[in-house]
Amino acid sequence: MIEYLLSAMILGLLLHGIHRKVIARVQGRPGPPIWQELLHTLKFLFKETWIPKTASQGLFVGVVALAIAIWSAALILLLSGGSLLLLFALYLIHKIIEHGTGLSSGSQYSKFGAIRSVISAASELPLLASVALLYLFTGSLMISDIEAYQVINGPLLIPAFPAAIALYMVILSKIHYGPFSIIEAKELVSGYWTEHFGVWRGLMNAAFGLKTFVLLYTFVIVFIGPIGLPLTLLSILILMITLSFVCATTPMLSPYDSVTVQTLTTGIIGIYIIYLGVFA
Amino acid sequence: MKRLHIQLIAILSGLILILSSIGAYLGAIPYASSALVTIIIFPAFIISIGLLLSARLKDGDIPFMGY
Repeated sequence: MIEYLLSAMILGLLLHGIHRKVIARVQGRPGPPIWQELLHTLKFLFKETWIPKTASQGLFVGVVALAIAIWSAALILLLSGGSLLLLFALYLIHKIIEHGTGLSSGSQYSKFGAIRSVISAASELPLLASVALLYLFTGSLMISDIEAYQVINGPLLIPAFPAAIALYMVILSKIHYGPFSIIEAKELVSGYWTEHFGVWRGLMNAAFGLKTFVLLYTFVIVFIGPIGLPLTLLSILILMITLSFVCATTPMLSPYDSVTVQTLTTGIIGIYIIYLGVFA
Repeated sequence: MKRLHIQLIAILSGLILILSSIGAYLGAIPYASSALVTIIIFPAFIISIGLLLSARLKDGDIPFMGY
């Protein structure tokens, strides 16, 4: 199992590198090499590391361990075809990581990032809508059942298109440099993880690489179905590139606009769910 | 934490992770148990490896005292 986790971490960091490269090319810059995020993570691991005096020591280190643990759990859950609701729960725990990371250090920049993370709780709403809509179509929330449904009825991407858009928005809200990335905006230096440096930063980078891979893999499994490893990886790559295009061409929204857009999307999908549940 | 302790944690957690993976493949350990062990031990393994790689702390630069 450790081999899957390490591979997913490395692939996730490579996807982050591709993300930066595509954004740069769209904006007319050469951009860093695609393995830059891997080198970045290694660079942080070799730096001097300590815990700031103003930090809550347990929480400062604990959030790093929790970030690695929950995304490891999410990947194992996906591979074993477990419940989508459990995946949803793990995703919600990520919110605790954002809050904990921001509040643990004692720095006002990271605290502002944590407060913005609280405000952007609306980013979880599209995921709820997506899960509800998938249940209406497949009658089950087990990932293995959703895969089996797609083997018989074809990919859910077309019939459950609003759910796909909702999950796409969820991924977009968790990706770096995106329109909803208000918790790590540059006016807050690096936002909620400004004070995590050295090994802590390197490991959080690795955990977020794992997170990116897990979220994209979830999208492919849930909306395209079991298509074999090479095609799955290709789909993940294409999905990442589309996200990078959106990030490159969309300015970062202000915190309240970000919440408004996410809530409106959820509202529209909610109306669609009610329509399907009542009339269809 | 002393470097020796970190080395011990890294070696022990690495061994547990490898054994639990092999055990799950051979069917000696249930998949769920192996998954649980991996989820709990993996962060300790990664953090201890990270701390082993990190540069040793040394005195900071001498602050500028004026001309």
